[in-house]
Amino acid sequence: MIDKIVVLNDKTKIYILDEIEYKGKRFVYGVECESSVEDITENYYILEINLSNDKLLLNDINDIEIESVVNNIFLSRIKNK
Amino acid sequence: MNSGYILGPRGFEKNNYLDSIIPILDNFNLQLEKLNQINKQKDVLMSEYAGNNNDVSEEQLREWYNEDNISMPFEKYKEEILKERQKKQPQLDQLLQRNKYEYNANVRYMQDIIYETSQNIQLERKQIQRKLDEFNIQLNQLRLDREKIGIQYDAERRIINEGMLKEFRQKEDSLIFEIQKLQQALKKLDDMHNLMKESLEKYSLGLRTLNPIEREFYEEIKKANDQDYTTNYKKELDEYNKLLEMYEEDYERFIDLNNKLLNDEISYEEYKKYADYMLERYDSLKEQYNKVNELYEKTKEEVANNQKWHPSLTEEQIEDLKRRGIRKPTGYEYEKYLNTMGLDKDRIPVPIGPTQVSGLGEKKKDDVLKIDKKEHKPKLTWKTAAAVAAGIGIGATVFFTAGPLGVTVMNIAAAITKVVVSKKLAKARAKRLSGIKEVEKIEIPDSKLKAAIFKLKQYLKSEEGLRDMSWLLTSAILTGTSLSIIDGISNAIEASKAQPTQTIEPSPESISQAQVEPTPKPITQVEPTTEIGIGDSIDGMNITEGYDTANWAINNNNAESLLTQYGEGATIKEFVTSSGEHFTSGSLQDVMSQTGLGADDIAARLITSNGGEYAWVGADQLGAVAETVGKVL
Repeated sequence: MIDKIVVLNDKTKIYILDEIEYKGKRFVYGVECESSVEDITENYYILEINLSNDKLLLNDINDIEIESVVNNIFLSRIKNK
Repeated sequence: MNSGYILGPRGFEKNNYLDSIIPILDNFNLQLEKLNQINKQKDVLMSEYAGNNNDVSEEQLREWYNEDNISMPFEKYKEEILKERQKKQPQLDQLLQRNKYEYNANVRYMQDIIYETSQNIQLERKQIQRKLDEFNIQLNQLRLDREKIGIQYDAERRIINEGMLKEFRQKEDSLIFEIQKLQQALKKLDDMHNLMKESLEKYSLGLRTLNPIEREFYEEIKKANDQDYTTNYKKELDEYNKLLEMYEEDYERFIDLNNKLLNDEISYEEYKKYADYMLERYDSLKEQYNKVNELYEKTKEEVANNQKWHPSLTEEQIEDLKRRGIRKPTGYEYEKYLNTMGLDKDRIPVPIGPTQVSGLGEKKKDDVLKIDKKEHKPKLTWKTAAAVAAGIGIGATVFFTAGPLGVTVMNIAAAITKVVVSKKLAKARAKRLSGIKEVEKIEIPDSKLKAAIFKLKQYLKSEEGLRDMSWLLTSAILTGTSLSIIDGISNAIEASKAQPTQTIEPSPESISQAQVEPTPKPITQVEPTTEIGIGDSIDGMNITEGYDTANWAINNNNAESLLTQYGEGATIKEFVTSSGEHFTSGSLQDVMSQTGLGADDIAARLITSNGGEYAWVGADQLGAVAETVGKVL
């Protein structure tokens, strides 16, 4: 869902800048959008996507090693994109 | 748009949702035409008999006299004409009177038509809106399904085939097309609504009456409605608005604290302090609101008291009304009475008075009191400790090396005797979601947002952007940890300075067997003796300030210049540039001219007088004295 906006159930809107797969899980890197002004904020997120009970769920990455790896992967992709 | 055709994925197609709307619009236009014609006739009539007291001028008589080639002398002609006009006067009055009632009847008829059309429009609008909502839901569901299948196939190591993707795309396109058709139909309804509003204003009874007394009456009321009644209590109102704005800002912060409390990030005492403060603020805000509301009610009553009775009513009629219970010229009963008299039906102008001030939500007060009273204590585990140590003072990379976790991390951290975090970290912190959230919708961004994103991507490709982002993403590891943990780490760092080989054992009660991994996988190999020090330009950053504790570092308190700490009796050992070149002799000028770099891309490595400790300092921090390798500060 790169270059699409994800709207969460608490009305937060996140624009997905990049998406990778690592160890069978999917991670996204996005920036929060302000819906009233249609502009981006300075809040960045690195999140994990899961499928559970036929629902798409976003969550923080709780495992620090995976988080550091994923961070680095996203960073390297920023430079090369 | 007029023809009702719209461009879709298969070429031009007729918009079937317009079929029910177009007859309504046509009917309305027809009625409008009829009324316009009737009113035109009346205008023609009025222009012929211009006014009640309009005497014919001498020039006009001369013109008629010459045009019609009258035989009698001019003076006689003048007499005759004036006599005729006086004869016509009562007839003229009657004619005007009749026309006035006819005009009123036409306007009432117009208003009925507008009312009926607006009802039809409302019905259509509801149906179209319902269909639009259904299609939007279907579209969103399609997009969610597309992502879900993607994730499922990831886990099963399968790839979605081209045919499936094509099917998704086609379904999406056809749904979008239906939505566009409905939106076009909605727009047409809105255009019609605007047309009706315009004709309603055009046919309003406001100032088009013929009676000069009535005209004065309406003008007075219009003036009253244009008046800004809030000038009576402007000061209180402004104060209230300011308080409300501040309260709402603080309330956002309060919600954050709420979440932090539930995640064990702050203590209950801290939270309670802020909660009490919020309750106080709410009370004072409510007080101010009551003041403003009182003044509003008073002004409203004054305005109603100053209203006048309709000028066509005689004193007897007014007395009669008062006896019947209609003491003031406002309200539903009064309107009904005027209707029965044949006076203005739906367009009785009434002074509007001041607009009501927006009130406070009672809900907000309840939310403040909702949190349970529990003791919240932060937990210290080896995972959180290592994360903090690893994240401190380092750009993008996190250092984990093979071996018992904690040893080499602490060694590296020990080299950074003062924990260093730049202001950028405090400013742009990556956020955490604080809880699992469900994806409700997937949307396509519009052009305005796309422009902002394009700018962002350009910025990220630049060096500065990459550096900022690396600080941001690493700081994600820092958020979520309590400050007291960081204090503990700082003390551990101090302790390990004296005994560099001491390991930090994870305490047995804070970990379970399942959590311990024998050797964490290396993400970036770093030697324990890697020269990472203050002033090293990692990712192009020049670090020259330090803090005594990690706590302070993260909150940017009490920064000290490291030069003063290490500068006395220190020697410059070498210069290192951000491009990785080492210079063990020469002056700063030489280095700069050889590499072409500025002073803020060069660091100087200092050694203390006993040759032991070392520190890095940014070259731009050196005084003019100490610019050569070997020089003593």
